[in-house]
Order: sequence, then C-alpha cells, then structure tokens
Amino acid sequence: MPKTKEAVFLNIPYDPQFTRLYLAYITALSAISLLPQATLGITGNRRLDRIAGLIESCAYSIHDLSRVQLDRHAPRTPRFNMPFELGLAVAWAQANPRHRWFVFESVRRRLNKSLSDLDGTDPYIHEGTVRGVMREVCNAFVSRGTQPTVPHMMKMYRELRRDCPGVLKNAGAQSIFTARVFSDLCVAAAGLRSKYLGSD
Amino acid sequence: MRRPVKLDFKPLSLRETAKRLGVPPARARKILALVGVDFDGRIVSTAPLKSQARTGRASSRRAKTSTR
Repeated sequence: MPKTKEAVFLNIPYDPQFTRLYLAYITALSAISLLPQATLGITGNRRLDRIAGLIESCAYSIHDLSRVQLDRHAPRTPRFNMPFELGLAVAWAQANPRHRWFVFESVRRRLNKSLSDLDGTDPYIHEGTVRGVMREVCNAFVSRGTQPTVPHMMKMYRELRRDCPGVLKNAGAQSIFTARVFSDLCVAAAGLRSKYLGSD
Repeated sequence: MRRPVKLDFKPLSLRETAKRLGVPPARARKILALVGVDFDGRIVSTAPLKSQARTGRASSRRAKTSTR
C-alpha cells in the first residue's frame, strides 16, 4: 500500500449511535485537506494484515476511545477493536517516528482509568459533541492553506448531513457504515471544503 | 502543552482526492453535484431555479405539440 502524507487512519466505532461523530470526523478531516481511511469493508481472515497495512500507509492516525462501555446485547462486551488498533499504531510509530497518532476521548481523565499504559499522553476531549470533534481536530492539526474555523466546519457538517440521503441513494445502500458510502462521503466533504473554503 | 501538527502539503484537487479514495470519476462527479460543485470546485446549481423549471416544462410541452 503506498504511503501518503495526506492519509489519516480513522479508528472509530462504526455504528448508528456514532453517526453524528462519524460525520463530524469526516467533515473536520476533509476541511483540513486530510484523506480519512477506514477499516470499513475490510473482512476475512486477512483482516489484521490489511488493517496493519492501512495504518502503515497513513501518516497519521486518530483513535477515538470514547466507546468504552459495554454494549446492550448479551453477552455484554466492551469493544476492544479500537484500543487494539491504537496498540498497532503505537507499535508502528515506535519503529517509524514519522507516524503520528492521536487519542480522542469524550470524558476527561477516563483514559487514565481505561488505558493507564498511556499515562502522560494528553487525549483530545470532544465531550461527545460534533463541535467538540471539530475543535479538537483543529487543536491537533494546522493546515498549510486556509485554516478552517469551527463555524466553517459546522456549516459543512450540516450540509453533509442533509446530503446523506442522496449519497445513500446513489450507492443503493441502507447504511452509511459501508466502505463505498464512506468514500463517497469523503468526496462530498472535500467538495464542501472547496465550496466553503476554496481550493487554495 | 501540545503543539498542533503542521500539515505541510497543498490540498489535493477534487479529482485527485476522488482518485485517492478509490472513487471513479463518474461517481465522484455525481456526488460533487449533490453538494453543488464541479471537479474544479466551481459552484454549480444543485436544483433548477423556478424560472428554469418553468421554461423547461414549457419547452417540453412545445416539443410534444410539435411532434403530434
């Protein structure tokens, strides 16, 4: 997989309860000209190799550890995929210091309790809000071109939400958590960046 | 205090963005039309204006009449 300096590995929960923040991450990262990459659509027994390959192909990775609670269905289980993929990214960054990883959380000081191995790492706290994700992405990255403001990003986000049914219809999909819809939403968000911020 | 990472690259064009995301050009064009831009980032209308829609209907009616 070719390494690209614009690519960011997006390690977040893919489920309906996370829809707002999923769209917020796509919007915010596209607004600063990054290319989000997801594990959506990666299945089968080579999944782990492909996830590792995807992390290695990205210059940055964002790991949202806000979903640490047990799910509703029996047997009630916490989700380990996100911390596991964070571990892969940290190991990769140890060997390749050019890879930068960021931890996002919704609750302050919870990371010290859930993953004390990361003591000394300051997570970006988004408080579970769309605006919080925008603010924290701006705290993590500064783009070379026009730096978008949070109100710009919110405008883009609202329009992306409105356009979701059209994107789903074009893809003939029922869910936004598919590989095709994810890449289509990223293209739509890049179009909105161009519309509101210019292509500089 | 954390310092933000400075992204030292020029934003990709929309065409290149679509390519890197694995979206074929025809599909990307459709998606961009949904948000009201073309491949060059120019703003295009997403819905026909009322006056254009009226003109469209009138001309199609005229076309129907002429074929009869």
